[in-house]
Amino acid sequence: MSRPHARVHADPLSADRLARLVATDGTGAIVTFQGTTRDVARLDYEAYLPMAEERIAAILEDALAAHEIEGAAAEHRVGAVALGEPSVVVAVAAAHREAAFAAAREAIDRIKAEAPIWKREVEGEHRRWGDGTAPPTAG
Amino acid sequence: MVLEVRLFAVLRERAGAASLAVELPDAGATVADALRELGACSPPLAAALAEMPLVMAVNRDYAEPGTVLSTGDELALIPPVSGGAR
Repeated sequence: MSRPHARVHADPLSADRLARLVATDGTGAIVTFQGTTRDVARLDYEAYLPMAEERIAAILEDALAAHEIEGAAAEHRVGAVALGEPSVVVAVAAAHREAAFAAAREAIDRIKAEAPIWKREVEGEHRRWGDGTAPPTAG
Repeated sequence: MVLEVRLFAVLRERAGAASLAVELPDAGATVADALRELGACSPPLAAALAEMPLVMAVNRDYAEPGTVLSTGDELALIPPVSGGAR
């Protein structure tokens, strides 16, 4: 796989679609991760584009370089994401499961910590921006 | 030089604007100078700077306080991102 697939957009996400994107004839393991809205009626996501897509692509490129994997893809939603729906999906394909799990774990952890994306909890009239953490400035 | 700083999420709401212009010396101005200037021209941003860790992105990369700015740079003030550690 040459360039990893990284997109930030307002449409519903599909882990199956990303899994099909990353699979090759040499794939023996596909790991997908979905992060979903919990506890509140919906989350409203806002992103700094195109930096958010660029940062996710760089994270996936790092995963491709660091692990024995064949493909990596991730998408994040912006706008309203209702309870139970995914806001972020990551898919990694590899010959073997160990590398696929490790790379997918690393990718989602870094996307959450580094991508310039913000969420606001919405419950009835109540609106609250998530606390979050400061992204790392080096590396 | 005058640089436009984009604002997002909680910062955009508090400042009541999607971007603010800051005036900086043409040569040698840094990210730290831009942050100081933002605080000086917007009391809500000064309060935000005091209460949460904010990071500046320069040309869509996270920058250190000492990063030197140039005319035409794309600046954005990044509030804590939503991930969470778990």
